[in-house]
Amino acid sequence: MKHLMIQRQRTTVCRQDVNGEDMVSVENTAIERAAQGDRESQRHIYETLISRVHRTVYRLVGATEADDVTQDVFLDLFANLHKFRFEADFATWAHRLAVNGALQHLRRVRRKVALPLEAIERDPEVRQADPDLKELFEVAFSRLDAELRMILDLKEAQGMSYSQIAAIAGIPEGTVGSQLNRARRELKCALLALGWEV
Amino acid sequence: MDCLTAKNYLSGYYDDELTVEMATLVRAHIDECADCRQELAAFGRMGALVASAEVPVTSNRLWARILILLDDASRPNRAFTPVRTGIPFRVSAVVVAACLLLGLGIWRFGHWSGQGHNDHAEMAVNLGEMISGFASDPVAAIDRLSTHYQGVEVSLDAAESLLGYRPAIGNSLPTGYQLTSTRVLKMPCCTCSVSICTRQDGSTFVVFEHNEEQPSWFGDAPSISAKCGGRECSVVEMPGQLAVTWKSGMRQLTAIGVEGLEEVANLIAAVDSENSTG
Repeated sequence: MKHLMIQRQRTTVCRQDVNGEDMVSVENTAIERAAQGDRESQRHIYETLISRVHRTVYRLVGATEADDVTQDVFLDLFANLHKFRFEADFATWAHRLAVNGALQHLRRVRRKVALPLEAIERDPEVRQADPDLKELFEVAFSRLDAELRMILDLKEAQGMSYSQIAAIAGIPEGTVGSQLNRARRELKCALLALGWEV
Repeated sequence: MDCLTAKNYLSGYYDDELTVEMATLVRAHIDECADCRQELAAFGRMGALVASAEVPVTSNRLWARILILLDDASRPNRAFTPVRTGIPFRVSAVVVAACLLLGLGIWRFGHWSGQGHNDHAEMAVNLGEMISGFASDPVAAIDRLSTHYQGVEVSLDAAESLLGYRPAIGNSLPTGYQLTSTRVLKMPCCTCSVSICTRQDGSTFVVFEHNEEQPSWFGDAPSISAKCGGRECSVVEMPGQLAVTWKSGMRQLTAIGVEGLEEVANLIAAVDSENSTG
């Protein structure tokens, strides 16, 4: 039997993102109704989370499979909503499911998304033309390990704190800084190799 | 603080996650170190790139797909069970009570041979209408059938997740053919995939697939048995085209709108090759 524990009446709210927008605002009552199968509440949760969850999944698994993995993430979320403890942060909990789902997918397919850097460097169209910086960035970014891409995206694009990133990624908070150091260092190396001027 | 130590804390400093004391030490070093100042500047530029990077939007149909699966999961005789654990999907025996192919076999343009179930009779009519309209507008014909049976356009991976098997035709079309789309249909008897395939000249045919052996596809419609590509096939003539059903391993396939037995043989060979390597 599903048992929902209401710790206190409050709205689950996260910090604002880099654009100054509220990241997530999902009322406890909506979560409770969604856990009981209410489709309107489930849709509300989906529409509240989809942009950020999809982005996180996309950064991990790439464009081709992002929709399918995101679908599975939400099915998993709704199936396990009764397990959500209201003292936790809902968006963080949802993101954690997204990361777990995406990483499980990656382990199943066991393939890399990125192109070999050497091939890109030798490609005359990349070296001689004046590549669009965004395209150059995407190529360089794809060179990072999936987890590093995710952590850097959570920080720079979604404005999460180290504690939130640690909770989502399932790593100690003390290692978030070193992981970001590594991600930034590797991204810089990849960009420089493609001709980016610091 | 030396440079090596400062670099270890550079991200924490940049992200304002250090204690006041540590941030003071790092700042003091940065004031003296051009290299670390450059590194911080690079952090800022890269951060802007990450923040401004565009992420493809989700499919408009994503919520619809989720809704179908949620609705199905709440039914006692569920048709869809997305595979998430690697354990193969087992279709409920209740769901596979009759078969799409039996329904197709009764598609004598609306005639039902007496099974007596309203859903199956209606399905036979719908299939008959699809086939009769296929020659003039195949996409519209399949769209009507798909709409009626809650068809969802999915990727091959998603089809595998929904059905428990991957549509064989998706990965095995011969050269010169292209898989345009794959849909999963919730027919009254069972769940199946239908793949819309396009030839180089832009013309279309479709392939239904089941992972269960089916009785006669075409009921008492005039058909011939033929051997194509080493497989026993049942062939029915459509207006200017053929409908053909055959079995490949555990898979039952029915192609509608094929242009001749040579094309059928090519499809069979391609599917058999995929099944032998897959």
